[in-house]
Amino acid sequence: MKIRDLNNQNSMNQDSIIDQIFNHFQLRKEESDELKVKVRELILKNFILNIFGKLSATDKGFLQSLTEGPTQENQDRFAEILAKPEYQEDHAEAIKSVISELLEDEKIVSPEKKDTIYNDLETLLESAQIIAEA
Amino acid sequence: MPEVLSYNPEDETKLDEGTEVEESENPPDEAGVDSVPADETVEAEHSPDYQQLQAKLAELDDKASLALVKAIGVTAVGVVSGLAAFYPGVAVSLLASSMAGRKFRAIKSEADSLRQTLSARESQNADITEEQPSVGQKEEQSGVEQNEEVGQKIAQFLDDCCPPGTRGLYNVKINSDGTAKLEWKSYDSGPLKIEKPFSESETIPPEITEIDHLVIGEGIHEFRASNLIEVDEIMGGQNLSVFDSPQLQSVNLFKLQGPVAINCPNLSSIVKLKISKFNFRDSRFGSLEKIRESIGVNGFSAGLATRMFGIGKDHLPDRIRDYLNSLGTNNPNPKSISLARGEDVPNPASISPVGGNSRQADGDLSMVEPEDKT
Repeated sequence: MKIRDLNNQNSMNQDSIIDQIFNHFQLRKEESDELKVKVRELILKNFILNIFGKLSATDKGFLQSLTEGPTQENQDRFAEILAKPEYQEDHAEAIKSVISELLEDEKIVSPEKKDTIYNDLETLLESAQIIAEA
Repeated sequence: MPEVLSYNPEDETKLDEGTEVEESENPPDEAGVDSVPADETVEAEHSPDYQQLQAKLAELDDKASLALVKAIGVTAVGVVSGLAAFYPGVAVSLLASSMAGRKFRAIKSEADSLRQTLSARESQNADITEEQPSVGQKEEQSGVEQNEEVGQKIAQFLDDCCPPGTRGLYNVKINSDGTAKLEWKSYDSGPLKIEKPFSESETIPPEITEIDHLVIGEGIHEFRASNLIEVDEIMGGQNLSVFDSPQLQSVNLFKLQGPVAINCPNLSSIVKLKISKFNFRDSRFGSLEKIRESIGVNGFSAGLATRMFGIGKDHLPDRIRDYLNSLGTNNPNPKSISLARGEDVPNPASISPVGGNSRQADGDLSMVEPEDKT
Protein backbone atom coordinates (compact mmCIF):
# COMPACT_ATOMS: atom_id res chain seq x y z
CA MET A 1 0.00 0.00 0.00
CA LYS A 2 1.31 3.41 -0.89
CA ILE A 3 2.07 5.78 1.90
CA ARG A 4 -0.38 8.30 0.56
CA ASP A 5 -3.13 5.71 0.49
CA LEU A 6 -2.25 4.60 3.96
CA ASN A 7 -2.35 8.12 5.27
CA ASN A 8 -5.62 8.76 3.51
CA GLN A 9 -7.03 5.65 5.03
CA ASN A 10 -5.98 6.67 8.50
CA SER A 11 -7.22 10.17 7.93
CA MET A 12 -10.51 8.75 6.80
CA ASN A 13 -10.72 6.82 10.03
CA GLN A 14 -9.98 10.00 11.85
CA ASP A 15 -12.57 11.95 9.90
CA SER A 16 -15.10 9.24 10.43
CA ILE A 17 -14.55 9.51 14.17
CA ILE A 18 -14.83 13.27 14.08
CA ASP A 19 -17.98 13.07 11.99
CA GLN A 20 -19.65 10.75 14.42
CA ILE A 21 -18.64 12.76 17.44
CA PHE A 22 -19.91 15.92 15.81
CA ASN A 23 -23.23 14.28 15.17
CA HIS A 24 -23.83 14.73 18.87
CA PHE A 25 -23.59 18.49 18.57
CA GLN A 26 -26.28 20.80 17.36
CA LEU A 27 -24.52 22.44 14.48
CA ARG A 28 -25.45 23.60 11.04
CA LYS A 29 -23.54 21.90 8.27
CA GLU A 30 -21.29 24.83 7.47
CA GLU A 31 -20.54 25.37 11.13
CA SER A 32 -19.80 21.73 11.59
CA ASP A 33 -17.51 21.66 8.57
CA GLU A 34 -15.64 24.71 9.76
CA LEU A 35 -15.07 23.33 13.22
CA LYS A 36 -14.10 19.90 11.95
CA VAL A 37 -11.29 21.48 9.99
CA LYS A 38 -10.07 23.07 13.20
CA VAL A 39 -10.33 19.80 15.04
CA ARG A 40 -8.31 18.00 12.39
CA GLU A 41 -5.67 20.68 12.54
CA LEU A 42 -5.56 20.41 16.30
CA ILE A 43 -5.26 16.65 16.17
CA LEU A 44 -2.38 16.94 13.77
CA LYS A 45 -0.55 19.33 16.07
CA ASN A 46 -1.08 17.00 19.00
CA PHE A 47 -0.01 14.08 16.89
CA ILE A 48 3.26 15.78 16.05
CA LEU A 49 3.79 16.61 19.69
CA ASN A 50 3.13 13.00 20.63
CA ILE A 51 5.65 11.60 18.21
CA PHE A 52 8.25 14.34 18.33
CA GLY A 53 10.32 12.69 21.04
CA LYS A 54 10.36 9.46 19.07
CA LEU A 55 11.46 10.91 15.78
CA SER A 56 14.95 10.21 14.56
CA ALA A 57 17.40 13.06 14.35
CA THR A 58 16.98 12.98 10.61
CA ASP A 59 13.23 13.30 10.79
CA LYS A 60 13.46 16.07 13.34
CA GLY A 61 15.87 17.82 11.06
CA PHE A 62 13.44 17.34 8.24
CA LEU A 63 10.77 19.23 10.10
CA GLN A 64 12.98 22.22 9.68
CA SER A 65 12.79 22.04 5.94
CA LEU A 66 9.12 22.82 6.28
CA THR A 67 10.05 26.34 7.31
CA GLU A 68 10.88 26.96 3.69
CA GLY A 69 7.32 26.19 2.74
CA PRO A 70 5.81 22.97 1.54
CA THR A 71 6.91 21.28 -1.60
CA GLN A 72 5.57 18.16 -3.19
CA GLU A 73 8.61 16.31 -1.95
CA ASN A 74 8.42 17.38 1.66
CA GLN A 75 4.68 16.82 1.75
CA ASP A 76 5.22 13.26 0.67
CA ARG A 77 7.90 12.78 3.23
CA PHE A 78 5.83 14.41 5.90
CA ALA A 79 3.00 12.04 5.07
CA GLU A 80 5.43 9.16 5.13
CA ILE A 81 6.59 10.05 8.63
CA LEU A 82 3.09 10.51 9.97
CA ALA A 83 1.91 7.28 8.42
CA LYS A 84 4.54 5.09 10.03
CA PRO A 85 2.78 2.18 11.68
CA GLU A 86 4.63 2.70 14.94
CA TYR A 87 3.05 6.14 15.27
CA GLN A 88 -0.55 5.13 14.71
CA GLU A 89 -1.14 4.65 18.40
CA ASP A 90 0.06 8.20 18.92
CA HIS A 91 -2.34 9.29 16.21
CA ALA A 92 -5.21 7.61 18.03
CA GLU A 93 -4.02 9.19 21.26
CA ALA A 94 -4.04 12.61 19.66
CA ILE A 95 -7.59 12.11 18.44
CA LYS A 96 -8.64 10.91 21.85
CA SER A 97 -7.03 13.77 23.70
CA VAL A 98 -8.53 16.48 21.51
CA ILE A 99 -12.03 15.03 21.56
CA SER A 100 -11.77 14.34 25.27
CA GLU A 101 -10.83 17.93 25.95
CA LEU A 102 -13.98 19.02 24.15
CA LEU A 103 -16.09 16.58 26.08
CA GLU A 104 -14.68 17.73 29.38
CA ASP A 105 -16.14 21.17 28.86
CA GLU A 106 -19.53 21.20 30.50
CA LYS A 107 -20.57 24.21 28.49
CA ILE A 108 -20.34 22.04 25.42
CA VAL A 109 -21.47 18.68 26.64
CA SER A 110 -23.60 17.91 29.66
CA PRO A 111 -22.14 15.37 32.10
CA GLU A 112 -24.93 12.92 31.28
CA LYS A 113 -24.29 13.10 27.58
CA LYS A 114 -20.53 13.05 27.99
CA ASP A 115 -20.33 9.42 29.01
CA THR A 116 -22.31 8.31 25.99
CA ILE A 117 -20.16 10.22 23.57
CA TYR A 118 -17.00 9.12 25.30
CA ASN A 119 -18.00 5.49 24.97
CA ASP A 120 -18.66 6.10 21.29
CA LEU A 121 -15.23 7.58 20.96
CA GLU A 122 -13.54 4.59 22.57
CA THR A 123 -15.40 2.22 20.29
CA LEU A 124 -14.59 4.25 17.23
CA LEU A 125 -10.94 4.44 18.14
CA GLU A 126 -10.75 0.71 18.61
CA SER A 127 -12.40 0.16 15.24
CA ALA A 128 -10.05 2.61 13.59
CA GLN A 129 -7.07 0.82 15.05
CA ILE A 130 -8.31 -2.47 13.61
CA ILE A 131 -8.71 -0.94 10.18
CA ALA A 132 -5.27 0.59 10.35
CA GLU A 133 -3.69 -2.71 11.33
CA ALA A 134 -5.54 -4.60 8.65
CA MET B 1 -13.02 11.31 1.04
CA PRO B 2 -11.53 14.52 2.36
CA GLU B 3 -8.70 15.97 0.38
CA VAL B 4 -6.31 15.73 3.24
CA LEU B 5 -3.34 15.18 1.02
CA SER B 6 -4.35 17.33 -1.86
CA TYR B 7 -1.58 19.50 -3.19
CA ASN B 8 -2.09 22.79 -4.88
CA PRO B 9 0.96 24.69 -6.13
CA GLU B 10 -0.90 27.93 -5.57
CA ASP B 11 -1.08 27.14 -1.91
CA GLU B 12 2.65 26.69 -1.84
CA THR B 13 3.10 30.13 -3.25
CA LYS B 14 0.83 31.56 -0.62
CA LEU B 15 2.60 29.73 2.14
CA ASP B 16 6.00 30.85 0.99
CA GLU B 17 4.82 34.34 1.52
CA GLY B 18 3.97 33.35 5.08
CA THR B 19 2.79 36.53 6.65
CA GLU B 20 0.32 37.43 3.99
CA VAL B 21 -1.38 34.12 4.26
CA GLU B 22 -1.30 34.26 8.02
CA GLU B 23 -3.20 37.49 8.05
CA SER B 24 -6.10 36.01 6.20
CA GLU B 25 -9.14 35.94 8.41
CA ASN B 26 -11.12 33.54 6.29
CA PRO B 27 -9.53 30.15 6.15
CA PRO B 28 -9.90 28.70 2.70
CA ASP B 29 -12.48 26.01 2.54
CA GLU B 30 -11.81 22.41 1.96
CA ALA B 31 -12.55 21.26 -1.52
CA GLY B 32 -16.14 20.33 -1.93
CA VAL B 33 -17.32 21.95 1.24
CA ASP B 34 -19.65 24.86 1.05
CA SER B 35 -18.95 27.27 3.81
CA VAL B 36 -19.89 30.75 4.81
CA PRO B 37 -17.16 33.39 4.82
CA ALA B 38 -16.55 34.59 8.35
CA ASP B 39 -17.41 38.19 7.64
CA GLU B 40 -20.77 37.18 6.24
CA THR B 41 -21.66 35.05 9.21
CA VAL B 42 -24.18 36.59 11.54
CA GLU B 43 -23.61 35.90 15.21
CA ALA B 44 -27.25 35.30 15.95
CA GLU B 45 -27.47 32.61 13.34
CA HIS B 46 -24.97 30.36 14.98
CA SER B 47 -26.15 27.17 16.53
CA PRO B 48 -26.01 26.98 20.31
CA ASP B 49 -23.01 24.68 20.35
CA TYR B 50 -21.05 26.58 17.77
CA GLN B 51 -19.67 29.40 19.88
CA GLN B 52 -18.77 27.13 22.76
CA LEU B 53 -16.98 24.71 20.50
CA GLN B 54 -15.23 27.47 18.66
CA ALA B 55 -14.00 29.05 21.89
CA LYS B 56 -12.82 25.74 23.25
CA LEU B 57 -11.02 24.87 20.03
CA ALA B 58 -9.29 28.24 20.02
CA GLU B 59 -8.15 27.65 23.58
CA LEU B 60 -6.85 24.17 22.74
CA ASP B 61 -5.19 25.48 19.64
CA ASP B 62 -3.30 28.07 21.65
CA LYS B 63 -2.12 25.37 24.01
CA ALA B 64 -1.07 23.08 21.19
CA SER B 65 0.66 25.90 19.33
CA LEU B 66 2.62 26.90 22.39
CA ALA B 67 3.56 23.30 23.07
CA LEU B 68 4.76 22.96 19.49
CA VAL B 69 6.71 26.15 19.83
CA LYS B 70 8.32 24.85 22.99
CA ALA B 71 9.14 21.49 21.51
CA ILE B 72 10.20 22.46 18.05
CA GLY B 73 10.99 26.14 18.33
CA VAL B 74 10.71 28.26 15.27
CA THR B 75 10.03 25.26 13.17
CA ALA B 76 6.56 25.27 14.67
CA VAL B 77 5.73 27.95 12.18
CA GLY B 78 7.22 25.83 9.45
CA VAL B 79 5.50 22.73 10.65
CA VAL B 80 2.19 24.49 10.63
CA SER B 81 2.98 25.84 7.21
CA GLY B 82 3.74 22.29 6.23
CA LEU B 83 0.47 21.18 7.69
CA ALA B 84 -1.26 23.76 5.61
CA ALA B 85 -0.24 21.76 2.61
CA PHE B 86 -2.45 19.06 3.98
CA TYR B 87 -5.18 21.40 5.09
CA PRO B 88 -4.65 24.25 2.65
CA GLY B 89 -4.65 27.65 4.18
CA VAL B 90 -6.30 26.63 7.37
CA ALA B 91 -3.34 25.81 9.56
CA VAL B 92 -1.55 29.04 8.94
CA SER B 93 -4.64 31.09 9.56
CA LEU B 94 -5.24 29.31 12.81
CA LEU B 95 -1.72 29.84 13.97
CA ALA B 96 -1.90 33.47 13.04
CA SER B 97 -4.80 33.85 15.38
CA SER B 98 -2.86 32.53 18.31
CA MET B 99 -0.46 34.32 20.56
CA ALA B 100 2.29 31.95 19.53
CA GLY B 101 1.77 32.83 15.93
CA ARG B 102 2.07 36.53 16.53
CA LYS B 103 5.11 36.11 18.72
CA PHE B 104 6.90 33.95 16.25
CA ARG B 105 6.10 36.14 13.32
CA ALA B 106 7.80 38.98 15.17
CA ILE B 107 10.82 36.87 16.04
CA LYS B 108 11.04 35.49 12.56
CA SER B 109 10.88 38.94 11.10
CA GLU B 110 13.69 40.15 13.31
CA ALA B 111 15.80 37.13 12.55
CA ASP B 112 15.19 37.46 8.84
CA SER B 113 16.28 41.06 9.02
CA LEU B 114 19.51 40.15 10.76
CA ARG B 115 20.12 37.34 8.36
CA GLN B 116 19.59 39.57 5.36
CA THR B 117 21.95 42.17 6.76
CA LEU B 118 24.59 39.59 7.35
CA SER B 119 24.08 37.99 3.99
CA ALA B 120 24.31 41.32 2.19
CA ARG B 121 27.48 42.19 4.03
CA GLU B 122 29.02 38.86 3.25
CA SER B 123 28.19 39.27 -0.41
CA GLN B 124 29.77 42.70 -0.42
CA ASN B 125 32.82 41.36 1.23
CA ALA B 126 33.08 38.53 -1.28
CA ASP B 127 32.83 41.03 -4.12
CA ILE B 128 35.55 43.15 -2.65
CA THR B 129 37.75 40.12 -2.20
CA GLU B 130 37.22 39.03 -5.77
CA GLU B 131 37.86 42.41 -7.26
CA GLN B 132 40.78 43.41 -5.10
CA PRO B 133 42.37 40.27 -3.79
CA SER B 134 45.68 41.94 -3.13
CA VAL B 135 44.42 44.81 -1.02
CA GLY B 136 44.19 42.94 2.22
CA GLN B 137 44.30 45.92 4.47
CA LYS B 138 41.55 47.70 2.60
CA GLU B 139 39.38 44.65 2.84
CA GLU B 140 40.02 44.40 6.54
CA GLN B 141 39.05 48.02 7.01
CA SER B 142 35.89 47.45 5.04
CA GLY B 143 35.17 44.43 7.18
CA VAL B 144 35.54 46.49 10.33
CA GLU B 145 33.06 49.04 9.06
CA GLN B 146 30.64 46.35 8.07
CA ASN B 147 31.07 44.81 11.46
CA GLU B 148 29.64 47.79 13.13
CA GLU B 149 26.08 47.39 11.97
CA VAL B 150 25.92 43.68 12.59
CA GLY B 151 27.94 44.14 15.75
CA GLN B 152 25.50 46.69 17.07
CA LYS B 153 22.64 44.32 16.53
CA ILE B 154 24.51 41.53 18.22
CA ALA B 155 25.43 43.83 21.07
CA GLN B 156 21.81 44.85 21.44
CA PHE B 157 20.80 41.25 21.47
CA LEU B 158 23.34 40.54 24.16
CA ASP B 159 22.15 43.48 26.21
CA ASP B 160 18.61 42.25 25.98
CA CYS B 161 19.31 38.66 26.81
CA CYS B 162 22.57 38.54 28.66
CA PRO B 163 23.43 41.44 30.99
CA PRO B 164 26.93 42.90 30.81
CA GLY B 165 29.24 41.11 33.17
CA THR B 166 27.70 37.74 32.53
CA ARG B 167 28.79 37.29 28.96
CA GLY B 168 31.31 34.65 28.31
CA LEU B 169 31.73 30.97 28.26
CA TYR B 170 32.90 28.11 30.36
CA ASN B 171 35.52 25.84 29.02
CA VAL B 172 36.46 22.52 30.46
CA LYS B 173 39.88 21.34 29.53
CA ILE B 174 41.56 18.13 30.43
CA ASN B 175 45.27 18.30 30.97
CA SER B 176 47.81 15.67 30.14
CA ASP B 177 48.41 15.02 33.83
CA GLY B 178 44.85 13.91 34.34
CA THR B 179 43.63 17.11 35.85
CA ALA B 180 41.15 19.37 34.26
CA LYS B 181 40.38 23.01 34.37
CA LEU B 182 37.15 24.84 34.44
CA GLU B 183 37.55 28.15 32.82
CA TRP B 184 35.34 31.16 32.46
CA LYS B 185 36.04 33.53 29.65
CA SER B 186 34.34 36.85 29.74
CA TYR B 187 33.46 38.64 26.58
CA ASP B 188 33.02 41.91 28.38
CA SER B 189 36.20 42.54 30.23
CA GLY B 190 38.89 40.45 28.74
CA PRO B 191 39.64 36.83 29.30
CA LEU B 192 39.39 35.71 32.88
CA LYS B 193 40.42 32.27 33.79
CA ILE B 194 39.20 30.12 36.60
CA GLU B 195 41.18 27.01 37.11
CA LYS B 196 39.83 24.20 39.08
CA PRO B 197 41.80 21.00 38.99
CA PHE B 198 39.99 17.77 39.42
CA SER B 199 40.56 14.17 38.70
CA GLU B 200 38.50 11.78 36.69
CA SER B 201 37.13 10.19 39.82
CA GLU B 202 35.34 13.34 40.75
CA THR B 203 32.03 14.57 39.61
CA ILE B 204 32.49 18.27 39.43
CA PRO B 205 31.63 20.97 39.97
CA PRO B 206 28.39 20.80 41.89
CA GLU B 207 28.24 24.55 42.24
CA ILE B 208 27.34 25.06 38.65
CA THR B 209 23.87 24.01 37.84
CA GLU B 210 22.85 26.44 35.21
CA ILE B 211 24.73 27.85 32.32
CA ASP B 212 23.58 30.36 29.83
CA HIS B 213 24.62 29.16 26.48
CA LEU B 214 24.82 31.75 23.80
CA VAL B 215 24.29 30.38 20.37
CA ILE B 216 25.31 32.64 17.57
CA GLY B 217 25.32 31.83 13.94
CA GLU B 218 22.91 29.78 11.96
CA GLY B 219 23.29 26.07 11.91
CA ILE B 220 23.55 23.19 14.25
CA HIS B 221 25.72 23.66 17.31
CA GLU B 222 26.74 20.39 18.73
CA PHE B 223 27.68 19.59 22.25
CA ARG B 224 30.30 17.18 21.17
CA ALA B 225 31.68 16.56 24.61
CA SER B 226 28.39 16.56 26.37
CA ASN B 227 28.58 12.87 27.03
CA LEU B 228 30.70 14.18 29.85
CA ILE B 229 27.83 16.11 31.29
CA GLU B 230 24.23 15.53 31.92
CA VAL B 231 21.86 18.22 30.89
CA ASP B 232 18.61 18.19 32.78
CA GLU B 233 16.86 20.74 30.76
CA ILE B 234 17.32 23.23 28.04
CA MET B 235 15.33 26.28 28.90
CA GLY B 236 14.50 29.53 27.29
CA GLY B 237 16.04 30.24 24.01
CA GLN B 238 14.31 31.44 20.98
CA ASN B 239 13.75 29.70 17.74
CA LEU B 240 15.52 26.57 18.79
CA SER B 241 15.29 22.98 17.96
CA VAL B 242 17.06 20.36 19.97
CA PHE B 243 18.10 17.22 18.25
CA ASP B 244 19.48 14.04 19.57
CA SER B 245 22.53 12.84 17.82
CA PRO B 246 22.45 9.99 15.34
CA GLN B 247 24.45 8.02 17.88
CA LEU B 248 21.80 8.43 20.50
CA GLN B 249 18.45 7.76 18.99
CA SER B 250 16.28 7.73 22.03
CA VAL B 251 16.66 10.87 23.98
CA ASN B 252 14.13 12.64 26.08
CA LEU B 253 13.90 16.25 25.14
CA PHE B 254 13.96 17.37 28.73
CA LYS B 255 16.44 14.89 30.10
CA LEU B 256 19.29 15.08 27.74
CA GLN B 257 22.28 12.88 28.10
CA GLY B 258 24.93 12.15 25.61
CA PRO B 259 25.72 14.12 22.52
CA VAL B 260 23.09 16.61 21.61
CA ALA B 261 22.89 19.40 19.16
CA ILE B 262 21.08 22.67 19.30
CA ASN B 263 19.90 23.98 16.05
CA CYS B 264 19.87 27.71 15.73
CA PRO B 265 17.99 28.61 12.59
CA ASN B 266 18.35 32.28 13.24
CA LEU B 267 21.27 34.47 13.98
CA SER B 268 21.44 34.14 17.70
CA SER B 269 19.75 32.72 20.72
CA ILE B 270 20.29 32.29 24.39
CA VAL B 271 19.76 28.93 25.94
CA LYS B 272 19.93 28.15 29.58
CA LEU B 273 21.28 24.73 30.26
CA LYS B 274 20.48 23.18 33.54
CA ILE B 275 23.39 20.93 34.27
CA SER B 276 22.98 18.13 36.72
CA LYS B 277 26.60 17.10 36.78
CA PHE B 278 29.86 16.87 35.04
CA ASN B 279 30.76 13.28 34.87
CA PHE B 280 34.10 12.31 33.53
CA ARG B 281 33.91 8.80 34.85
CA ASP B 282 30.96 7.92 32.71
CA SER B 283 32.47 9.21 29.55
CA ARG B 284 31.86 6.94 26.63
CA PHE B 285 35.58 6.99 26.16
CA GLY B 286 35.93 5.25 29.49
CA SER B 287 38.78 7.19 30.94
CA LEU B 288 40.78 10.30 30.52
CA GLU B 289 43.57 8.21 29.10
CA LYS B 290 41.29 6.92 26.41
CA ILE B 291 40.04 10.38 25.72
CA ARG B 292 43.59 11.48 25.11
CA GLU B 293 44.24 8.46 22.93
CA SER B 294 41.12 8.98 20.93
CA ILE B 295 41.79 12.57 20.11
CA GLY B 296 45.53 12.18 19.86
CA VAL B 297 46.42 15.23 21.84
CA ASN B 298 47.00 16.02 25.44
CA GLY B 299 43.57 17.03 26.49
CA PHE B 300 40.70 18.56 24.75
CA SER B 301 41.31 21.29 22.34
CA ALA B 302 39.95 24.72 22.95
CA GLY B 303 37.62 24.20 20.06
CA LEU B 304 36.10 21.14 21.58
CA ALA B 305 35.72 22.79 24.92
CA THR B 306 34.28 25.87 23.34
CA ARG B 307 31.64 23.85 21.65
CA MET B 308 30.84 22.28 24.93
CA PHE B 309 29.65 25.34 26.73
CA GLY B 310 30.16 28.34 24.64
CA ILE B 311 29.69 29.84 21.32
CA GLY B 312 30.22 27.50 18.47
CA LYS B 313 33.00 29.58 17.09
CA ASP B 314 33.67 27.25 14.24
CA HIS B 315 30.25 28.05 12.94
CA LEU B 316 30.42 31.77 13.38
CA PRO B 317 30.52 34.09 10.46
CA ASP B 318 33.98 35.63 10.49
CA ARG B 319 32.89 39.13 11.24
CA ILE B 320 30.73 38.17 14.17
CA ARG B 321 33.56 36.10 15.55
CA ASP B 322 35.92 39.02 15.13
CA TYR B 323 33.44 41.27 16.80
CA LEU B 324 33.07 38.99 19.77
CA ASN B 325 36.79 38.51 19.98
CA SER B 326 37.25 42.23 19.98
CA LEU B 327 35.06 42.47 23.03
CA GLY B 328 37.48 40.29 24.89
CA THR B 329 40.72 41.80 23.77
CA ASN B 330 40.27 45.42 24.62
CA ASN B 331 42.12 45.19 27.87
CA PRO B 332 45.87 45.16 27.39
CA ASN B 333 46.58 43.42 30.65
CA PRO B 334 44.08 40.70 31.34
CA LYS B 335 44.49 38.69 34.50
CA SER B 336 43.38 35.25 35.36
CA ILE B 337 42.24 33.68 38.56
CA SER B 338 43.06 30.26 39.78
CA LEU B 339 40.90 28.52 42.35
CA ALA B 340 42.01 26.01 44.88
CA ARG B 341 40.43 22.60 44.69
CA GLY B 342 37.04 22.54 46.29
CA GLU B 343 36.56 26.24 46.19
CA ASP B 344 33.32 27.44 44.81
CA VAL B 345 33.40 28.67 41.32
CA PRO B 346 32.16 32.23 41.39
CA ASN B 347 29.21 33.35 39.47
CA PRO B 348 30.44 35.01 36.33
CA ALA B 349 28.59 38.16 37.27
CA SER B 350 30.49 38.38 40.53
CA ILE B 351 33.92 38.06 39.00
CA SER B 352 35.83 41.28 39.13
CA PRO B 353 36.66 42.76 35.80
CA VAL B 354 40.17 42.46 34.53
CA GLY B 355 42.54 43.95 37.00
CA GLY B 356 40.29 43.32 39.95
CA ASN B 357 42.08 41.59 42.81
CA SER B 358 39.29 40.92 45.22
CA ARG B 359 39.51 37.18 45.02
CA GLN B 360 43.26 37.16 45.18
CA ALA B 361 43.02 38.87 48.53
CA ASP B 362 41.65 35.63 49.92
CA GLY B 363 45.05 34.11 49.64
CA ASP B 364 43.82 30.98 47.95
CA LEU B 365 44.08 32.32 44.52
CA SER B 366 47.01 32.88 42.32
CA MET B 367 47.49 34.59 39.08
CA VAL B 368 48.14 32.52 36.06
CA GLU B 369 49.13 33.53 32.65
CA PRO B 370 46.27 34.36 30.37
CA GLU B 371 45.71 31.89 27.69
CA ASP B 372 46.07 32.66 24.03
CA LYS B 373 42.76 33.28 22.41
CA THR B 374 42.07 30.95 19.64
